[in-house]
This record gives sequence, structure tokens and C-alpha cells, in this order.
Amino acid sequence: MSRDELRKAYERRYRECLVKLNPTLEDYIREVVGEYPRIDRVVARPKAVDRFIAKAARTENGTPKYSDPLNQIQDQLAARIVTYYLFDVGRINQLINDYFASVEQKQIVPESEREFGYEGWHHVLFIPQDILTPDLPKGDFPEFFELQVNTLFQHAWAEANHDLGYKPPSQLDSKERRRIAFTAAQALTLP
Amino acid sequence: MGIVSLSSFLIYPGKNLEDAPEALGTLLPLEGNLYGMLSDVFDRSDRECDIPIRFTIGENGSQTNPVRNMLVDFIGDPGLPKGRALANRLRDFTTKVPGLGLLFLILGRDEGRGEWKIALSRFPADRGILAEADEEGLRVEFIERIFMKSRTAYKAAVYRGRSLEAGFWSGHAVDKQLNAPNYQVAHYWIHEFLASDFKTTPKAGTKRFAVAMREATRDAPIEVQRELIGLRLLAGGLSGQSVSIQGVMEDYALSQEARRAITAQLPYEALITDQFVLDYEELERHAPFTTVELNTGGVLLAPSDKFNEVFRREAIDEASNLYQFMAEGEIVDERVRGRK
Repeated sequence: MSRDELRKAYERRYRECLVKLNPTLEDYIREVVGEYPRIDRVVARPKAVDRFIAKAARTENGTPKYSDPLNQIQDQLAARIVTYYLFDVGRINQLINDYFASVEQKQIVPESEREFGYEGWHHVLFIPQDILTPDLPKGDFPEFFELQVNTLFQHAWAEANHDLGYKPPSQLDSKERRRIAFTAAQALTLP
Repeated sequence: MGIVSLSSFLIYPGKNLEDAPEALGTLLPLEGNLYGMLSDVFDRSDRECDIPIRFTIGENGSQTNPVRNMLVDFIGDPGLPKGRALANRLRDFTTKVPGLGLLFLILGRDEGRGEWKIALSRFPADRGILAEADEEGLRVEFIERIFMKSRTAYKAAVYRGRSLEAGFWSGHAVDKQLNAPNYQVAHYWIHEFLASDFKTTPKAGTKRFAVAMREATRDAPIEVQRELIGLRLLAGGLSGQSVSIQGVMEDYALSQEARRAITAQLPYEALITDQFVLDYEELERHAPFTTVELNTGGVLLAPSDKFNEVFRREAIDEASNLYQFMAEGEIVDERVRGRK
């Protein structure tokens, strides 16, 4: 599939499926965690067309990372649950396991114990049967969605780091990198 | 969709056996009567396999599942060696109860859509009598290994996908071999052999069912309400069992009106066949009943969200927990139970 064909295929999926599924998925997740206290927010988003195309074009060791991006990219729908404290994260993960069929779950932690950086729980889950209504285009919706569970501080850190550290407008010097790490350390050591 | 590969394996019971025999297999020709029969099985599998299943997550939380790996390996290279891996796995979970079986792996390809479809079907061995007339007269023989004697008695699973790397994580299954209602699928076929689970988790399925019962009860006519309340009370006894809403409604012989009332509360009708394991706590959470037992021996029972409407409570002496309850309504059923 050429780049243009991929864009057209994803634009159709985005328009006819993802945009329709997104609010129902968000409502479904909200209902699952509804009675749990200390939920700051539940948000879901369909992956924008340009971001999808950019991700599909990524390479690894000089070869395309995705041979079949429409099926391989699993965050075409992605959601985030932001809670207050670290101890809430485990309980929310349990709720997720109770109500969603999971295909992957992992804790993202910095690579070294001496480093600070992005931290959170990532789940790859089957889209629940309840929201896959018959009016969706048959066979043209993703099977999975990605769900992240973060504390407020992890979320704030991730958002800031995305702009400052992950995709900086210019190369950061060591002092700037240390400041970012210090911020992360403060975020991650809160209860 | 055209069949591109057809193979068959004889599966002996091998569970807990150290030296279980290797599954013997053969590739079958893509023509002839047997091909015609299996083409029919292949075509019907989409319709007959109606229980959504999915491969379970890897132990370390990764996207790996041994059976999915075997399945994808076989689709990529549909010969006997890759097929035998699946067949030997089935052997390793087969006890004497399902007994000897014949496994078919039927692989199809739709080039236009770039889609694969694979059906795995296991037929049990049966017994029969062969009668042959020849020059010397009639010869009658007892035969022990007849397969597909009844084309309605088999276990199957079907998967479709376009991507060997990312697809084939979910499919549909059926078990028509059991002498039990269709919705009770053999543990060994889905959970053990396929390393899979129902696509809907126990809590998600039970919540869907409980909320549908609760909401259907609200506005239903009184006779339907009685059925639904009875169903709700009895459903608790199914805790831990694999159920579908349709199966439960059939088992308890619900009226068409009551079935329609529940179905109307589901997000869409096809969910009545979706399979899940009933979770008692979840049922209690979403369709609870309140009971009040009095020291006089009387017991008051009503759906929790209607209890205060059904029974009006007046305090006679709050300090000693003495209350008067009042109820008003038409008697629709009255029973006296005694010892035989």
C-alpha cells in the first residue's frame, strides 16, 4: 500500500469509525472507573491522520518499522486515566483487568535506577464488544486501543517532557537535562 | 473464500501421559467428496462459531500467546510440521472423555481482500456398522473409528485476519459435541487447547446482563416483572458458569415478552449470544435485592431500587428497632409450602 493509499484508508477509518467510537469508548471507561474516588480525568482521542501517517513511516535500523500499519499501530484509539496518587494506580489497573480483555500491559519505568523519566502503566486492550455496534463499517475498525494510567504528576511530567525533552525545539544542554530529571524525580517520589 | 490448504491429524488422548504418541497427519487433496464435505464445514464455520474468543495475554504482560504463535506459523507455512505443533498441543490436553478425535486445519485465502481464514475443527470418533454386498452375499462389520458421523457434533474455532504480525488475536468458537446446552463450551477446547478466553470478561458480561435485567424490570408489565425478578433471583445460582443471555433466557423458559424486554436494554441485539462467566458479586452490585427479616419470622424482599416504593416503613419505636411495614398491590401468586 502506497503512502497515499494508506492516508486515504486511514482517513476513511478515522471519519467513519474512530470518531464515532471515541466518545462511546470514553463513556465506557468512565463508567468502569465511575465509582472510584480520586479520578482526575478520563480522556480518549482518535489518532490524528497526520500523526498516524508519521508513525507509519517510522524506520528501525533503516527498514520500515510497520509492514502493515493499519493493523499494527495499536493506539489509533487511545485513552488515559489520570488519578491522584501512586497507590491509586494499582487499584485502577485491577478495575481495568476486571472489565477489559487485555493483550498487553506493562509499567513504563526509566531504564536505570539512577535515572528519572517518564513513568506510567500502559495497557493494550480489546475494544469492548458493547461499543462495537453493527452500524460501524464491518472489518474496518481496529481491534485494540491503548490505555494509559498515570498520576497527576506523572501526567504533568509526561506532557511537559514531551515538549521539552522528547521533542525539544533545540538540543538541550546537560544543565537543562538535569533540571528535567529533577522535575521527574519530584513527580515520581510523591505517594 | 477459496481453500488453499487442508490437513488432518489423528489425536489420541495424551493428557498427563509421558510418552503420548505423536499426532499422525496428512495433507488432503483439494478435490473430491471429502474436500466437498470440508468445504461445507469451512463455509458454515462463520455462522456456527458464534462465541467471541481471544487469545490470553502472556504471563509477563507481553503480547505473546503460544497458540497464536502456532496458528500464525501454520498460516505462513501450512505444511504438516507446523500443523503437527497444533495437533500435539490438542493431544496434550485431550483426556479419555473427549477421547480419540480427528482434527482438521482448513486454511482459506481471499486474495482480493488480502485476508486469511483458518478453521480448526475437531470431530469425535464414533462407532458404526458397515454393510457391504458382494458376490458372496452381505458382509456386516463393526467399525470403531468413524468421524463426522454427525456433522452437527464437533468443536471448532475460526479466525480471520490480514496481518500475520498483528492479527489473529481473536476469533469465534463453538462446541456442538456436548450433550449440554450449546452455550456451555468445553473448558478444554477454549481455555486449555486454544489458550484463550471469552472476549467479554466475567464482570463486563455480568454487568451488561444485570443492568439489562434491572432496567427491563422498571417499566415492564407486572407479569413480565415477576418473570424478571424470578430470573434475577435464580441467575445468582449460575455464578462461575459460562453463560450467554440467550442461553439463560432459554434455560429458564422466559416468555417472549420478557426476552424482548431484556434484549431491548442491550447496546445491540447480537450481544445476547455473547459468552461470559457469571460473576455473583457483579450481579449483586448492579441488580441488587434488599431483604428485611423480622423477628416475627416475616421476610420482605424486593429489588433494592424499588424496595422503599414497594414497602412503606414507619417507625413504631426506633430505639427498640420496631417498625411497621405496609405493602399494597394485587396478589399475582401465593404459595404455601410445607413438608411432604
